[in-house]
Amino acid sequence: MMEDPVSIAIRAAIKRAKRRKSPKVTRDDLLVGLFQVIARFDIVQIGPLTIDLEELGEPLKDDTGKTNKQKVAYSSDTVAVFERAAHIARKDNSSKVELVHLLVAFAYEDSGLMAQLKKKYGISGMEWRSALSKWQPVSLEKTEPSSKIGAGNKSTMEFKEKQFFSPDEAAEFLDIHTQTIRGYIRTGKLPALRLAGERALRIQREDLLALLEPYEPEEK
Amino acid sequence: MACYVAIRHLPGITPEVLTGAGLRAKSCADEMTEEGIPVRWLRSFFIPETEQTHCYFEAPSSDAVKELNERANIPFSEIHEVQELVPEAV
Repeated sequence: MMEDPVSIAIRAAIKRAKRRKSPKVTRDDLLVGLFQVIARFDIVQIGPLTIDLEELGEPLKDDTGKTNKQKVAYSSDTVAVFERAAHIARKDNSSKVELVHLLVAFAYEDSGLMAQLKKKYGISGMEWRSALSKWQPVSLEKTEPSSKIGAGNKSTMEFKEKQFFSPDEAAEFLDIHTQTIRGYIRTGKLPALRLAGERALRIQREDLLALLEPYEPEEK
Repeated sequence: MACYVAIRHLPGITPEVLTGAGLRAKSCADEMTEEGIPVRWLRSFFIPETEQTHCYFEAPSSDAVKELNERANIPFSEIHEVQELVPEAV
């Protein structure tokens, strides 16, 4: 089962603290963990804000295969961010804390990385909340709930608007087997992208369409 | 794997505090499991009358449960091993 984006972001925060060899998971670790999950190509796009993780010195790190057993604990400041996010989620009538609630919780931060971002981009906490109120995460929540195997066939409209497909959806889109899609990805015939911090693959619509070529009858 | 309960006395606790603690406990359990200490947060019960929270964990030892709660920064007063009893088993 795929981990939910919030869990992935929080784990990314723990990994960052470990990489820093810090005994504490700080608010900055959490913010960077959130950014790493929502970034594409190390770019975080929230409304008019474009945050370059490379520029921040925080490009996505690949921790796979390395187990760091260093014990890290959440700092009290980070605990406060979690509680604020839970409060925001409740006000938003959400039964769960989503990525957006954690991100909004940082609107009230006036120190650390968030303070640097506010200064660099000239934004206030209100502008941060405003940008997030219209924010749609790229290809994460948008696709996961309905992309589970056994969710049934997608409507034509749903596929019509889709830009990114999971291997299962791509197979359904082209009416071929998922293993065929995975084979195309393995052999490089079909380009695929990896979601930041996880194993899930996404395929772009144009790359799927590029697989199709005109049929040439043998006898003309 | 044994089952343990972490008992917390948290006067004035809010649902937000419980939710935040849950998120942290889940992430620390996953992290410790990846490190080779398989800990799983099973469920928690809040008793409003006594302002106590009982959180159940599956873990190899009480030390592992203690470590998880320290990492998650969730205060606790006691940790005990528990024997599970379900209706199906009696």
